[in-house]
Amino acid sequence: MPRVAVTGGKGGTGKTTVAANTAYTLAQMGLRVLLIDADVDAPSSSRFLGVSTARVLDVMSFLPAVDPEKCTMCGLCAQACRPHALVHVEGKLPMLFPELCSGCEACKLVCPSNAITDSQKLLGWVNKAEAHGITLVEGELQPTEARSTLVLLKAMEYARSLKSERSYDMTIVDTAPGTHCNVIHAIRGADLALAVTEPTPLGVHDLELILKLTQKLQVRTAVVLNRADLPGGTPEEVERIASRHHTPIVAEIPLDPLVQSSHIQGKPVLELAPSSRAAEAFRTLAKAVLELASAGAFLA
Amino acid sequence: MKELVVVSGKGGVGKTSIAASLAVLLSRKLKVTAADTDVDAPNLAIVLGADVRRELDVRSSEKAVVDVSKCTGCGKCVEVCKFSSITLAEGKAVVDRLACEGCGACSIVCPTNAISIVQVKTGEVGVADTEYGFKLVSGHLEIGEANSGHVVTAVKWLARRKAEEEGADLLIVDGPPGIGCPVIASLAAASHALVVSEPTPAGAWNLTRIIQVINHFKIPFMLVVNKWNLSPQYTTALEAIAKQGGGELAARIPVDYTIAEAMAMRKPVVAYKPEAESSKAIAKLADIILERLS
Repeated sequence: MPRVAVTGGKGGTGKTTVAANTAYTLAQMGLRVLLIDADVDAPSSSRFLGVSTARVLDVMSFLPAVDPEKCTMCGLCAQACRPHALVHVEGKLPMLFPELCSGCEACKLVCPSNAITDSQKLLGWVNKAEAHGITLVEGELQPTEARSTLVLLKAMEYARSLKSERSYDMTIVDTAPGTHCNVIHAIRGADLALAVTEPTPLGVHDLELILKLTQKLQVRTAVVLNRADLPGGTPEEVERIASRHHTPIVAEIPLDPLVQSSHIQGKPVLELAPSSRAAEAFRTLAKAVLELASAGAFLA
Repeated sequence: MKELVVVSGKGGVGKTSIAASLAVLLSRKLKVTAADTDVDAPNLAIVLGADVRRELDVRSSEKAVVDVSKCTGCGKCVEVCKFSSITLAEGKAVVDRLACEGCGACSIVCPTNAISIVQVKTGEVGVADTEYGFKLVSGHLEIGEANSGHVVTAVKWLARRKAEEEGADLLIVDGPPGIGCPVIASLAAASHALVVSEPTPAGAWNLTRIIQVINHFKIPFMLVVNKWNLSPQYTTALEAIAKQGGGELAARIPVDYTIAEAMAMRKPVVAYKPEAESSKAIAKLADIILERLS
C-alpha cells in the first residue's frame, strides 16, 4: 500500500490543504484512505475536514525519579545525561531539570544502585477520527512540552498498528513545516513526497531546502504549486528550481476564494464547491498522486 | 533592552512579513536589531533583501558511531534506543544519523565498547547589514538535524551581543512556527511576544495552544489578526481567545496582495508601498508596540 508524504519546507504553503483534500478526493473515488497528521505542534487536518477526533493514547515519556534510600550520590547519572537534565552536586541527590530530559534512560542504565525509577511525564496524545471514508490519526504535542519527536513516533506507530488490522489503499502523511527530524521521520520510506510551495521568494527558497532533503532521503518527489496565480507571484522561479532538481510540477492550485472559505467552514473543497477550479485541481492532483505513488511502491 | 518575539503556533500566517515591516518602522524611532530564529526556513533576510555572512558554526549535536570491527551484532543497542535510530543489518549495528539524538544510551549498554558519541555540525549563524540601517542575525539548521533549539539559542546569543554593540533599544525576533523546542528557545527571556493568527478554525485552535506556552513563561503578549476580513466572525473569536488568555488586541491586518508583490521585490511592504492598506495597519501596530515598550 503506497504512502505519500505531503511536505513543503515553509509553513503555511498549503500542506494541510493538499493532504486533507487529496485524502478526501481519493476517498470519494472509493479508496480506503489513512491520513496521518504528523505536524504534532499544530495538527490541523481535523479542522480542515470539519471532524472531531477522540484521544486514543496518552504519549508518556520516561522521566527519572531518584530513590533517596538507594542513591549513593556517585554522580554517574549526571555524567551520562548529555542534555544535562540531571546535575550532580557533591554530597546531595542529583538535581533534575525535567524540561531538559529527552527520556533516553541513560541515567537508569548507568545507575549502579538501581536508584532511578520512571516517574513518567505526559508529552501529548494520539487522536483518531473516522469520517468521509478516511481514518485520521493525529499526534498532538502538549503545549509547554518541547519533545515533539516522541509524540510523532507514537502516532506513526499507532497508525502502523491500524494498518495491520485493516487494509488501506493509501496512506497520506501531513508533515510539519521545516526540514528537521520530525519532517524526516514523516517522509522517510514514503513512496512519494509532495512538496507544496507557493510562488513567492520564500516559497522558492524553502522548496529548494525540502527538495535537497527528499533527494537525501531518496524519496521520489513531485511539486504542487499552491496559489499558482497569486498576484505579484513568481511561478517561473518555482519552475526553475523544480526543473533544476528534475522534479515535475504535478498540480497547480489556483488562488480561489473557495479554498479560503473551505478553511473557514471546515469543509473539504470538493464537498463545498465540487465544480470549482480548485476542486478540479484537486481531482487532477489526486489522479497524479495515485499514479506516481503506485508506480513508486511498485518500483520499490 | 527590550526583546519582542513574533510567534504564531501555525505556520505561514505572515510572521516574517509582519516582523520585517515592524523592524523597518520601529528602526525609525528606536535603535533596532533583528533576528530570525526560524532556523528550519530562515526567510527574514529574503524579505529584507539582505545577504547573511556566516559568523559561527553551531556544533551541539552528537551522534552515535559504530566501530564495526568491535560490533558483535548482539542488538542490545537496538533495544535501548528510544528514537528508533539503530537497526541491525548483516549482523552489525547501523545508526540512522538523521534520527539519532546522540543520547548515548547505546554506548552505555554496548558490551564491547563499539559505540562512541561524536560531535557534528548542527547549524550556522550569521549576520547581515540591511539597507534599513539595522543588523540582522540569522541562523540555519543543517538539513535533517534535530537540535534546532540549540541553533535558536546561538542566534539569540549572537543577536543580543550585536544589539549590545550597537546600543540597541529593541531586539525583534522572527520566530519559528509551532509550539515545540525551537519556539520555547525563541521565547526564552523575551520581554514581549506578538502572536500572529488568521481567522480560521485551525488558526483559533493553534492560537489557544501557543497562548498556553506564552503564559507558561509569563510573557506579556499582543495579538495581531492577519487577513482578518476573510472571516470577521473568526476574527472576533480569535480576539476573545487572546483576551481570555490575558493578551492585548493590537491590530487587524486586511487581505492585501501588495504584501506578495513586495515580497517578490524582496522588500517589506511598508518600504515597498507605505500607502497600501496592509502597510497602514502595520504602521498602527508599530505605534502600539512602541507605546507598550516604553
